[in-house]
Amino acid sequence: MILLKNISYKYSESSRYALNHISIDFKKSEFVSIIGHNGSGKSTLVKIIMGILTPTEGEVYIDGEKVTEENYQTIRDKFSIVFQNPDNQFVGATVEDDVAFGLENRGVPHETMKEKVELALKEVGMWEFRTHEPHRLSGGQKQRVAIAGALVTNPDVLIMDESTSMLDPTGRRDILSLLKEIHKKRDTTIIYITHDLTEIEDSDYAYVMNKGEIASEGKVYEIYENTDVLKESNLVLPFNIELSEALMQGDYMSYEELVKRL
Amino acid sequence: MNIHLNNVSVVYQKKTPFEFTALKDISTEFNEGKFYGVIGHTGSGKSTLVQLLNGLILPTTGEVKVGDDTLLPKTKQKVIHRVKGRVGIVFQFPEHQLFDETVLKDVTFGPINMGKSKEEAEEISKYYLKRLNVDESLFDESPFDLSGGQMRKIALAGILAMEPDVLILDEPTAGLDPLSHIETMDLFKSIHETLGITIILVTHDMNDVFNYTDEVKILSKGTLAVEGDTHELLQDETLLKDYQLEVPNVVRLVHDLRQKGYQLDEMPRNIQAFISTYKGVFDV
Repeated sequence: MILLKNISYKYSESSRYALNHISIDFKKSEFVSIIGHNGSGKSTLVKIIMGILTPTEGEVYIDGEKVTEENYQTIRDKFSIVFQNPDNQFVGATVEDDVAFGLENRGVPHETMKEKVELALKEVGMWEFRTHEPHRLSGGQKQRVAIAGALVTNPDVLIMDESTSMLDPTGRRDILSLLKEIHKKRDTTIIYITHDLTEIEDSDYAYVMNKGEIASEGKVYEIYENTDVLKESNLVLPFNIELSEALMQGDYMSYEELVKRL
Repeated sequence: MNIHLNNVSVVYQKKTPFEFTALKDISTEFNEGKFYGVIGHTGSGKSTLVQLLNGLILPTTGEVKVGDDTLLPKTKQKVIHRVKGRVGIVFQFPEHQLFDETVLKDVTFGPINMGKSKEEAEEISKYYLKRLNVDESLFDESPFDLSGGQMRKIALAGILAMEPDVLILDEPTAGLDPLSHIETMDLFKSIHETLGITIILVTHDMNDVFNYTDEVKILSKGTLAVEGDTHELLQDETLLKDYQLEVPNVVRLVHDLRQKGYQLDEMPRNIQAFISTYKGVFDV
């Protein structure tokens, strides 16, 4: 689906490479997480995937097609992104206007647009808030609206760029379970960017980034078991992993399993 | 310096269709030298409560006594100004509060504004910058060229340089990655311990509340629902559930293990303390 081939990137004013020889093959319909400390290169990676930045070295292929300046616009339509702070991305005066924005931009006829907006808002459970002002909603509700706005154009890929980091614990859990539901129902590839290791538990596959490189990759339990890499990458271990490491010196297990085994 | 709230209510947009009571008849106190947690579900009135304490919001009815000053619905700007100097507030992303061309100028702004001479202000500012481990070589640099973590320290130095008696932290770790989160909280803890400043922490993170605070105030729908000893209240899972609050990880763990028959008498403050206290208990 998305193939990154040996990507390196250097910001013009910097002497250091923000990304160093990164190769990733994102498969269609996968739920993939990218975890890293602030400054690990994960945001730069998102910008490369989205075509906002052109790699200094290496190539990006989308559905087998190499991304160039000429075809970038058409390819860009396959992606939607939800950012950390929803206030920075609201454009509409009401929730439904806001969700409709991406469709208006693409010249979708009014009747079709209305139907799609309704479906998207129902999918995220925000239909009853359609006439509300986005700015007056709670943090979690705002992110639901942002997700509806991202889904309404029916993208192949949904990128969540630290979209839960400003939410309270309940809001976080709600958004994660909503994403799981969406992922189950749709064919959408989800790329989930986070600095919180507790949030990747249900991903199909995960990458740990550190200093512009991929420090480790694999199934989630493989990532969790490699605690040395996680610590070197300046990540904080989820408490169940910290416990199983200290008390059992053994394999990764969920909190419930851990309590059972003790 | 102690703070007392007597029958305080706050109503926003009074006498309009949007009228909204954010706080209802709150009476409580914050005493010198303690570390407080203010918790409650989103929209419970936490931020409104702490903004009352430094005069950013005035009570609609009731009074807020900050040391010798009293904040009332129509208190004059002069008194509010004095209170702001004694009660500092750090918002989310304190680095957004930076504005001046050099680190030192930025930090001296507060004390100068509070009436200190330039020399005095610089002396105090340098002292707090050093306390926060900001290297002297950075004093004449632009704060905007520094890393996020350093910017945070400089913003914090700017507030400490006003030498407040009380420091309010309104969700200071939201949006931070976990390692910066720990560093930031440890920084506040050391400020509390070495300078003896009263700290009032507003947060959703029950692990932090359990780990760092002495006393806690639980708000619910604009009222003060429960207050008291953190260590005692946050072990009460039924209470936490009633107010839609998370159970701290270490509390959940100890409760689950006691359920299994382990005799764990002492409740540690965090997971690391749990491990060092009970490591030998488990034979696995």
